Amino acid sequence: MTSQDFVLRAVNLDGGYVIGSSEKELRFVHAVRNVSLNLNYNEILGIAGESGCGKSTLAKILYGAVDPPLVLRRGSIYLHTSEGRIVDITKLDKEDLAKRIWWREISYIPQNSMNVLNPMKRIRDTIIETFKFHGIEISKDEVTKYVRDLFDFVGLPTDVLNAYPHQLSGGMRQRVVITLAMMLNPRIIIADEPTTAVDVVTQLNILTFLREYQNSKKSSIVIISHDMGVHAYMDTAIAIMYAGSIVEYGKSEEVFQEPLHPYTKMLMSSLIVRGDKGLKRGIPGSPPDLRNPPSGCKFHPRCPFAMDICRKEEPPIIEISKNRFVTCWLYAKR
Amino acid sequence: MGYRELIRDKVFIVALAVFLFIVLFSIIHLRYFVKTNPGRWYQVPQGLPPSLQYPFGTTLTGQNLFDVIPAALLNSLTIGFVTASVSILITIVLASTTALIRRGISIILTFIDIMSSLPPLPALITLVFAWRDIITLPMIGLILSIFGWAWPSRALVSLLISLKERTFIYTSYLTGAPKYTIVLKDFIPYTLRYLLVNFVNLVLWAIGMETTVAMFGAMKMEVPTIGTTLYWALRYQSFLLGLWWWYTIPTIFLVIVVVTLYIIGIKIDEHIFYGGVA
Amino acid sequence: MNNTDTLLHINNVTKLFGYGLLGLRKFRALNNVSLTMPIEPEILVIVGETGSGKSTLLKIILRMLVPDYGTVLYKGKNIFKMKSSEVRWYRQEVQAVFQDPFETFNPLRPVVDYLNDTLKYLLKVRNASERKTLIDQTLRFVGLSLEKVDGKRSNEFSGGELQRISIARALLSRPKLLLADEPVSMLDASLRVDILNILKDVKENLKTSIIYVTHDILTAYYVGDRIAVLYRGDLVELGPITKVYNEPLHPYTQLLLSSVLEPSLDIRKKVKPLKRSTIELKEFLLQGCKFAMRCPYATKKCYETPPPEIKINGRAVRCWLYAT
Repeated sequence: MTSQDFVLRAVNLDGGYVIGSSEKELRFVHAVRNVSLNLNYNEILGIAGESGCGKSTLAKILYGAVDPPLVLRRGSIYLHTSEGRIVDITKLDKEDLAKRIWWREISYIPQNSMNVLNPMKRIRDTIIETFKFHGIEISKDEVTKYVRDLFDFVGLPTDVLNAYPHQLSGGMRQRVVITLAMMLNPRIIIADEPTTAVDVVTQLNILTFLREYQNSKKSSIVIISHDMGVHAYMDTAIAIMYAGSIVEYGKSEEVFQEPLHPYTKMLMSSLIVRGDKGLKRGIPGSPPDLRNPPSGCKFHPRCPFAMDICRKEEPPIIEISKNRFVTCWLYAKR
Repeated sequence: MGYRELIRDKVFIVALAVFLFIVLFSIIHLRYFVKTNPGRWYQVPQGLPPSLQYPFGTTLTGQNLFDVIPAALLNSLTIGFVTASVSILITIVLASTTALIRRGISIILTFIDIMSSLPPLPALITLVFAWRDIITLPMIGLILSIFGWAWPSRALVSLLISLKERTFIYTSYLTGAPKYTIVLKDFIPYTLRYLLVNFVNLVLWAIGMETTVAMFGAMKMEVPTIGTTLYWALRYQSFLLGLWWWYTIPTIFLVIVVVTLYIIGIKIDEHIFYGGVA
Repeated sequence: MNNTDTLLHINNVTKLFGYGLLGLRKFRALNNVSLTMPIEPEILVIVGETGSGKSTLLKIILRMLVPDYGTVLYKGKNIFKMKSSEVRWYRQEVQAVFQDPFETFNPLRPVVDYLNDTLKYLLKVRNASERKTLIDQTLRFVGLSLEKVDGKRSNEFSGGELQRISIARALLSRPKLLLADEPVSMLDASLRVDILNILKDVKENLKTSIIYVTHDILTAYYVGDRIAVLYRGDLVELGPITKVYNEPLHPYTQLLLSSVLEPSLDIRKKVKPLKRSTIELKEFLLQGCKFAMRCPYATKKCYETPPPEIKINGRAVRCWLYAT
């Protein structure tokens, strides 16, 4: 996948979790298989997939947060920094990442982010500390001035600054974390299921905010979600993941209107929309166990079009048109 | 997993072996080799250091420490086990009541809270001292359990209350199963391991308490326990007179028993608590 | 009242919960909620966000919480004044499926135990082979079989399978009312529809009524016949689902429906930004309409007096906008 205007490019990422209590029982959960991705300037890239498909792991790797038991076995992630240099963040050490890259270039909103705030600190102190860590001194009053616009944007009253995390509802904490992630104006925001724990009204608020923010700053967002509604609302481009691989990638209009991969097709037709009470069908079977995945194409046990070759060999990545990819034997020219 | 892992754990095996060896040796030694009551005074020459004839030395009260220490250990352990059994029994009854009833939980909880915040030492000293002419060893265990149950009950009650809110308990209610079946199938498996660990902790607590109480002289002083042995050592100023074996050797054995029991406890906790599904 | 035309009659149910340091101050988790379900099978959806009181209502119907005021009548009988034989009958008639399939079954027990117990204790089926046949039959209804389930514990199943087993267990006693508490919210999109289809099947083929509790507007639409919208303990709107979806009356329902993100590209044009929301205890404590603080049409009256229930051709809405 090539493009000139990328801000983040992942090449052949391959990683997973090493689990087991003793040497003999060590097992590898292959959560990310040979993933290549391009995040372009000024776009929202969605990563969709069911739970356990590796999308959250991919998010962590993209952010550079590779800590045991997670290991990255192969691959590079090139970041186009705001100074115009290109760095491979897999080659950087933790300190460099923390000081120079995280928060300034890339921010990460983790899943269940409402629980990441330090329960012993007021929100204001958490913010001051974050600034200090990046070498910016800020006084207590300045904080209020600085975050007022951001808080207003996400719908938080400035009183929140003086509150402890436990005094806030889940949705409010989530919005605090999102504001934190945006404070230093990063060029890239990676948001892992940013709205799973909040009600629909708040969800729409947060997403609208993310979108407007992205639009005004011309930054880029990677949004990870299992909810296709979120992707329909947000995405410029979308990557569909299944069992650790990206099975389909394209502009979101194209993927929603004309899905190519059998998995995407079945997923799209299982989705419920208003005004349609007609009978829908889910995808038979269950997602594979990543500790012990099936041979060949990981989707073949659930695929109605499965052929012999699907059971034996992993399908290649096929470029259908410019920036439109599918990983399926049905589209291979033989 | 769980139990099988436990019996493969070398540290656990060693601790268990040491503990069992000391207990078995004490029992056999007292039964077959000690002809008189080891608590009796002036049976042997006073104040001899360890030698071939008296491996642990003798005391100024004329007792052979090699005979006294096994008896003292067994007596201390008896107190410990009585305390632990009775306390655990109280804990189970109280906690299951709390788990099954709907009203009055807060009253029981307040009572448990008060009991667990009372300082046990002054009360124990007073009680044992007042009754020391009539009490027997198991009774000391009973008296200790007055205070022993409160702390584990508190923890078990909160465990059961949170368990009560787990969805699978609701599912069990929906199967129409009678309450005792639910207790048996859903509550007991979760609490068993907890009780096992607490049993060991209570034994340790009781031995420590007994020793402390005895050091204040509030114990049946003629019965050898680790506590009374140390008390007499103190009374006869063994520190000043340089009779180091009198207080060192009982303390070493106390430490060995306590440490092995402790290891057994944490290993059970480690393997069965976390090795399982909980 | 001994009305056998209604399956379930919830009459002015109020549940208070304590808050504050000692829990002495109370707020109404449910406020004067009334609902009636006909004897004919239907799927009633109860929609609300976290803290709307929907789970509390469910627990009350299951007899696991006692309301502070109001009554719940099942086939004319007050469910909180039942003899023990009647309680057993009620358990047979009213069953439930819970939200988290991995929490539904004790991980230390084989899953099939629960099905066995239901037959043994609730239905008094003494014969073991008869029990096996019944279990197999019911499991086949949800697309599984005894062979696939026997002897396994919950960690050996996927969420979707567990939810099927959970439904099968609830169906063993052939209940007349099935309570489903967010049964698909923990499942993946590709598995959701199939579970919802089972629920539809249960209504059509087993003639069992279902109360489907959810915060997910889209699945609600897919399975529901009627919908009740809860907001901060108030039942704000009740009516046939297509009518409510096409023309929501209560401003909260309007807000809720316009916030739904449908998995279709059209939503980018359809959805517009709206008032920010905060979940606050303050709202629970409002004297009048709980939605007043967020409502674009709120007047002074809304803050002070709780709106009455207003009936508009087969629908009910609690809002001053429709009072005449």
